[in-house]
Amino acid sequence: MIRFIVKENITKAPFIILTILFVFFGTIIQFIDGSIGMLIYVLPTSILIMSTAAIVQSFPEIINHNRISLILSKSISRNEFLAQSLLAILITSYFYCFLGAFMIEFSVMLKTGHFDIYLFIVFLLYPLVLLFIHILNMAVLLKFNDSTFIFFVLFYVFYFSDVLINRNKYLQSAGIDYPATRYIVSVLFYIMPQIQSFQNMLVSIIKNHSFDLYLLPSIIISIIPTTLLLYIIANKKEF
Amino acid sequence: MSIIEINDLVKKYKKKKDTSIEFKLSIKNLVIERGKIFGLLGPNGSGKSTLIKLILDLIFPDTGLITILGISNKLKESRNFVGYLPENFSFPQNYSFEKAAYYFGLMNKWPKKEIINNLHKLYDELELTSILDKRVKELSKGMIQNLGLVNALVGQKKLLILDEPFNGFDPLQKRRVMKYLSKQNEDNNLTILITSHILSDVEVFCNQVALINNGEILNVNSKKNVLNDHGTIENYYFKYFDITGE
Repeated sequence: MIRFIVKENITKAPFIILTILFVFFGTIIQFIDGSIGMLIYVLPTSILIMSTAAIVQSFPEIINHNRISLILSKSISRNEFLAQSLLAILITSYFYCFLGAFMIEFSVMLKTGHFDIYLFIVFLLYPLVLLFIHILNMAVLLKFNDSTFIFFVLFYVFYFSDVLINRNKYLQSAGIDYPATRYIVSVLFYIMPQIQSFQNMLVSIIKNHSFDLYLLPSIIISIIPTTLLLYIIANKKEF
Repeated sequence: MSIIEINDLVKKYKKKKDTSIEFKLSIKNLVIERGKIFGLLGPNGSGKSTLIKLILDLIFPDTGLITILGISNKLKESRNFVGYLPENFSFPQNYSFEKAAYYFGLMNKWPKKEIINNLHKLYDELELTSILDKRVKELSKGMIQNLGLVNALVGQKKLLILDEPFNGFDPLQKRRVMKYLSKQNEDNNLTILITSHILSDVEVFCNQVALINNGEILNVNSKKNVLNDHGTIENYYFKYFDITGE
């Protein structure tokens, strides 16, 4: 099943074509612009959006009831189905992220002439963020049977990512000074992966060659409760 | 020897608004013997698909026990030898017929080589070789139904559960499929549980029938007895369901 899901995602031609176009335009931009500034800001963001979109596109199909009932009628338990789907998504995410990493690395190398190993290390983390989004989406889709909820989840994750990073600024400007509110927001900061931080980290690595693993605990912590939530929902779900 | 045993099964669906019971399936005892072609007949909404999904553990009962080949249906091992063709199913649209059948076949936890051999045998016997390269999205209703059937058949199957299996087949395809399934039943003692609204198909194909309505089994009988008592399956069916008396 892992092979099947990975193949189904990776062979989605539009995303491959988009990726190739992206390399092409990324390279062109970097020669025309004359500085890597634009490249630094445009490429990583676009790669992230693209790889997220590639995974998101597959959500409804993986959770499709008519598909799941075919799979679960075989000698496959629900937990096996979940574990294999998530592993397949992680593999797919790594595929897209490595593709993105190579593109950026290639473009930066053309400009600066040096190979940045940190960039690859950062891209090892991003599939975990995608995995978190996928787990959350699977849970929401299984619960509500409606793929429109995916967009709410994505909006929530991406929007709150920024709010949580700049939580002190937002709380201050909203005039909120209750310790309980600050505590709740701080807890949320640690259980939600900060996609925005990832973006900042990526830019900082490309620009300053400085590397900080501060995102990692948040990603790992956020995956555990969401996986538990998905496990409970999936084991109660009727197909 | 029984292949499916159901005891004290109850499944209730409640209304969302006031939690009153919208539908209740209740089966005290139902046994399907090995080697039977068991037709489950009933009007729309009578509980046929619900019962099938309960057997396969796709939905959960409020109370009751179901065993398949003596193994509780809660365990995945109970489905080791079960093939299922649902009324509605979905395969990857961009895959060819052959690729879809292959990938879903591999999920049967049977040696890859055996799966491939088994699939090729099925393609030959069901005369599907000409459509193997077609993408799922290009397949006609009957061809997709064939894909679903191949998916249900591939592997070492002892029980087939077919929900409206002849939908979409033209008369030739239907005859071919019926012939193949009957042969499997005779040669390999394959048990088949089938739901269908086409009573003439049931009359030709099944050797045991059960009537279900409002979630309750009204009658279980051998085809031989039904034909002796009522002449046709249609007469038998309408005796129970034609409340207008027409």
